[in-house]
Amino acid sequence: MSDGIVKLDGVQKYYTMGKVHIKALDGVSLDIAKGSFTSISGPSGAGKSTLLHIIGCLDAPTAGRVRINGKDMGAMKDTELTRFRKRSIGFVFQFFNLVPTLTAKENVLLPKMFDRDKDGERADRLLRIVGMEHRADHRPNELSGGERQRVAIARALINNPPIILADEPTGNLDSETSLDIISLFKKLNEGGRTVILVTHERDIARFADKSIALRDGKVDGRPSG
Amino acid sequence: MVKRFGVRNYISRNIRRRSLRSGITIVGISICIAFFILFASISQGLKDDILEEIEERRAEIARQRAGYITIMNIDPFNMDFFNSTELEQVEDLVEDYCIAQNTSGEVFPLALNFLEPTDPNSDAIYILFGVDPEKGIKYDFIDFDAESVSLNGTFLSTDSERQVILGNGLWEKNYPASGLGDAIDLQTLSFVTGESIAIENVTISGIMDSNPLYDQFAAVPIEFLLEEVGLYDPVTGEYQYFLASIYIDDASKIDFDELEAGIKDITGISDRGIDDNENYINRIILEHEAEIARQEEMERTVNGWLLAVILLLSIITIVGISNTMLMSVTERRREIGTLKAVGIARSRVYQIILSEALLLVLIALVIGGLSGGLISIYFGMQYEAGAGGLFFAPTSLSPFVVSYVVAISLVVGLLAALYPAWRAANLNPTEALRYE
Ligand SMILES: Nc1ncnc2c1ncn2[C@@H]1O[C@H](COP(=O)(O)OP(=O)(O)OP(=O)(O)O)[C@@H](O)[C@H]1O
Ligand SMILES: [Mg+2]
Repeated sequence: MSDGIVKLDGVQKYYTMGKVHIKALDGVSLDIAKGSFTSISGPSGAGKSTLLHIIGCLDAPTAGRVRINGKDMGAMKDTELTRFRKRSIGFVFQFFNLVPTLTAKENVLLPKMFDRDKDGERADRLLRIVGMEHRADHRPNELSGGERQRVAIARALINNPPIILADEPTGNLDSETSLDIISLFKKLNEGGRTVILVTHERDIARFADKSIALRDGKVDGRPSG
Repeated sequence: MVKRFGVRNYISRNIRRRSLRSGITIVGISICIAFFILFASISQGLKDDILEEIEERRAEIARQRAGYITIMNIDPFNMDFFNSTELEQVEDLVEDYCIAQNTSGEVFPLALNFLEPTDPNSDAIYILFGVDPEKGIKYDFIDFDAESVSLNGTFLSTDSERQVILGNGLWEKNYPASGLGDAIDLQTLSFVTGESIAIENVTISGIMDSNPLYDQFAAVPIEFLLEEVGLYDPVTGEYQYFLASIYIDDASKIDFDELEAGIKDITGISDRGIDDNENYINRIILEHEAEIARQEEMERTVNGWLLAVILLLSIITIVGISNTMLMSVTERRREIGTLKAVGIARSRVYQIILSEALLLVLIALVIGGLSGGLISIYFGMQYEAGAGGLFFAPTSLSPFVVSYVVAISLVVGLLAALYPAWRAANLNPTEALRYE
């Protein structure tokens, strides 16, 4: 798998709380192919979010190497990581994390807040893709959970990142809405993006090309799919 | 279609989102700024006043250093008025220090006060001097210089109360139509202190022969002169020393010790009150200089108070803004984490928080600046109108005051937001995003 877009090599993440060491990740090695749809599952506290944050360069591993698109993340400075994250990674969260004072469209444009080209047209197009163009001017509190997540997905896409990371994006949604959202991810994946998705739900894992199970900070068993 | 969305919209929405808290903070800072403006303008107003006074004092000192000044008091009753040797010697001594003097030879130490010339352009100085009626003027004059002095008219004597003997020139110029026995007004007497007094209705009892030395003189009985100029109290019989004045260019040129020693040496008048007079000018100048120092001290005090007020208000402002911004940052942990996750740089997070604080300060500057400005204008008006008292004070809303209030407010606002901004910028996004 030479075209792995995300490569992890012996990644460890330890937290020290007083005298207790918590091994959130304990030697995770992964190779995620470009354009693949990967699901990460595992019990609560297994280290799924931690893993996703490390892939998304929000967090640095205690040990091990992370390479994305062939670049060593450990060698990058904070500003470089931020820029890299902006260009290459779209985040989708369980709790949507929309800014309550902003409309749907403004939320989509949030990552471009400081950019000269605000690209309002692209925001409109993305809202159309996620089926939210009719709610562009609505605030998050006027939207349902599923609608909020669609807006959040549009926001993740505003800088056209090749990688989409989603941490339990359907965790707060009913099963029907969840399926809609997952098919949206599938559509994005079919459009060529690499999607890595954390989920508890087995139903969802079956959309993935590949499932990774985590347990106690380690990859559990052999990858399926 | 939504308006173009940028960081400015985001910041102003954040302020409006917590409108109550933002409002309270703005009101707090506005009050601080209003007080700040008021105190700054009052202290500027006080300083302006003080500086003006200091300037006046400086002018006073400059006047003291040049002009008519008094160098000594003379006891008229003990002075040997008409001892020419003595007088000439005093004059010679004084001349060393003087470019010009209002004395002319022999009459220098007499009771010298000036009659202003009728023609303001004239340089002539009229000198009025007292004559001791006990001795009689004839006696003294004859004794003084029997050959050159002759008098046309009667002599002054003990009962010559309101009599005057005029120098010929003075008479011709000021009282041409008058003659012996006529009642005349004497010109206004000017004193070094600036007081003046007119001697009215004296009878011409003598006119001196034309003589360049005495032409500008007027002689009156000494008690009368003393009484008229308020230096003699006929009831108690007490008199004050006369003032002898000379005109000098620069008082700093006078060596008082030398002058005093010289006068004592010549006249042997150590018992004539000269001790009072040593360093008269220097004393005055020193008093003025001490006054200036006092004023400058006051100015420093005003500055000190202003500084204390600025510090106090700054601390209140810093606490207010810091508190608001810290709460806002804490409340928005998740949102700030999201910003970082979507690729907003640390420096931009700083920018956001600092801008929010600045926006608060700017709004407060408008509100507090206007109200503080109005209050200080009102204070100034009340003060001008004489309301004065403890409460109102002079104010000055100069551009300088306004600009430093604005500058300090902005700097204080930024300082206050620095820590909250640092907190936000260094927020660990993974922790911020982890929990609901
Ligand atoms: N900042 C932290 N400090 C201490 N321990 C942490 C920290 N972040 C995560 N952990 C611990 O690391 C382990 C992995 O956490 P993580 O959030 O990755 O689990 P998860 O698999 O996402 O769980 P869930 O399904 O509940 O979201 C947990 O035991 C957690 O308590
Ligand atoms: Mg998690």
